Amino acid sequence: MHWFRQRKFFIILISPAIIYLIITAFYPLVDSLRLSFFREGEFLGLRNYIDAVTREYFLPNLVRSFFWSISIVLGQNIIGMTFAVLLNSQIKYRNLWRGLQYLPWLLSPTVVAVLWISFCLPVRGLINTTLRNLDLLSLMRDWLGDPQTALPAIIIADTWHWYAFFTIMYLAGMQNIPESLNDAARVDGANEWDIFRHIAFPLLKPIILTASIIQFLWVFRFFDLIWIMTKGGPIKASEILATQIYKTALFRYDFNEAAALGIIMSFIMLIFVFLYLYYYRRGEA
Amino acid sequence: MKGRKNLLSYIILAILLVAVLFPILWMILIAFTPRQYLFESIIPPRFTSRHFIAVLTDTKALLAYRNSWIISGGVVFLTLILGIPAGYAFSRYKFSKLKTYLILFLLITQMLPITLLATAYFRIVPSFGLYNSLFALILVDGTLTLPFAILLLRSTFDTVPKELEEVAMIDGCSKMEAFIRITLPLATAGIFAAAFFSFLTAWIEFLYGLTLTSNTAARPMTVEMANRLGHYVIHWGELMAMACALTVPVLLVFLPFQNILLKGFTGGALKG
Repeated sequence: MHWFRQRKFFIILISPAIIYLIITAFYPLVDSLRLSFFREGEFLGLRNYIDAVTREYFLPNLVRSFFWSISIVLGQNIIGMTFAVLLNSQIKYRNLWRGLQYLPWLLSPTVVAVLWISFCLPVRGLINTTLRNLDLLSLMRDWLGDPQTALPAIIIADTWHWYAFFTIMYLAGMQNIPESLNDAARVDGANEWDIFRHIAFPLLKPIILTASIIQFLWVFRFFDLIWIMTKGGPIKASEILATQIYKTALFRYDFNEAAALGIIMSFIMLIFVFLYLYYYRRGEA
Repeated sequence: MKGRKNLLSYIILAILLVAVLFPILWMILIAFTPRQYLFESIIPPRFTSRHFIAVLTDTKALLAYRNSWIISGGVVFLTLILGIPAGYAFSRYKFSKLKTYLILFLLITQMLPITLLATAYFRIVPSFGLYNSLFALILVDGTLTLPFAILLLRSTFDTVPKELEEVAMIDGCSKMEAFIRITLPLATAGIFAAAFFSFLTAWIEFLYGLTLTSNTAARPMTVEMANRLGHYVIHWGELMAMACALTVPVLLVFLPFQNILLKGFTGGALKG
């Protein structure tokens, strides 16, 4: 009782939010966990899990999920870091340039899908039109309909969409690097690349790690863009775990196996959550 | 030497910016391109407003746009009503263990596998009679915005000194009055940022809108646009006009206030 009285205000203020999140986010998760052990009301133990991982498409989907997230996080890191370095220097109208390069970040995935589908159209799409004008007919293809290029095309679209997350994080991190440090290095004859490699990069390392893990988790579970652009196709060329779960549940109506697959995906993500918390704690200490 | 280096970074910046902004420019240009010139050249020989007029007289599109506004507005309201007290509590009270666990809870809530949740909502929400309901979409979209908003608001309230409230209370204010008259006005920037990012999250949301609607009653704009991509004839001009309608309001708020908004964003994301 004493414990409660001391924390009365705190608990009154936070409980609406916490109760809301337990009902709307954690109850469905726990309910999925329960469902993953059953089929038609009968307890099956790990049967659904075994079914899910022994599907011949499980392993390719898993590999594709990692390929998808890792390439996007890498690509966005490169673009985001380049922008951060360029926009951290004393250039004219800096705020305007910063504002402009954030713009893709504010778009809806649906809008991004519409734009990139219009680029990738087989006959009239911008990419093929450009190739035709350059007389590079052999390179023309149905970018989203070709199993070899479908996933890379969506990866490029998504890299473009959310690279600015890294610009934001790295610009915020660079603000904490004192300018005097860079000046001192310049006096000692270091060029801009040396300064980046030996001062900015080591100091930004914790942010690079945490931002990459946050973005990895976000991209790994991301569904919208792939769904709108290819629905995981052609055949299964752009299928990842997130789209597979959705198909298993809403197309095959196998909610039990979908739940099992979802729980497996959650465990994979949990590893990265712990990694994040580890670096986050270290950053705070 | 210095000048040449600067020139080089200007050139790289210019090339990157043009590349990155081209798709957005393309969206605007196609929205104004007459159908007969579609995809023929980047800049059409003449412009038209017909696609916008077509969207404005299209009941389905208008309903979807209205739904998007209602859902996003509702999510902002829900997030702030629940998030401001919680963020304030996290900032002011120092019960280290309980607080650490609750923050862990919020961080994990931010990282839930949303496709799994969508399939669960698909089973659960209709049993409450809330399929095709705006209210249901507000409720489930709130799970995407609230954890981040609480962390953002906590770091905002951290910047308002506790002493100011204490002085107000010595002058005879109640705890509640001190909060409303002193703390809340000083936290406006952070509350604005929390509202903006909650709005944006709900505004661009697709998965839950797709899963929990089957007709125009609650279908958001994002899902309506994706549906049109599946039509036999795709009206690109109208789609790009809809894309503009979905993008311009966000840009109009973001561009003038980017510094305030991003300060809030990094406060929520980095301090966790």
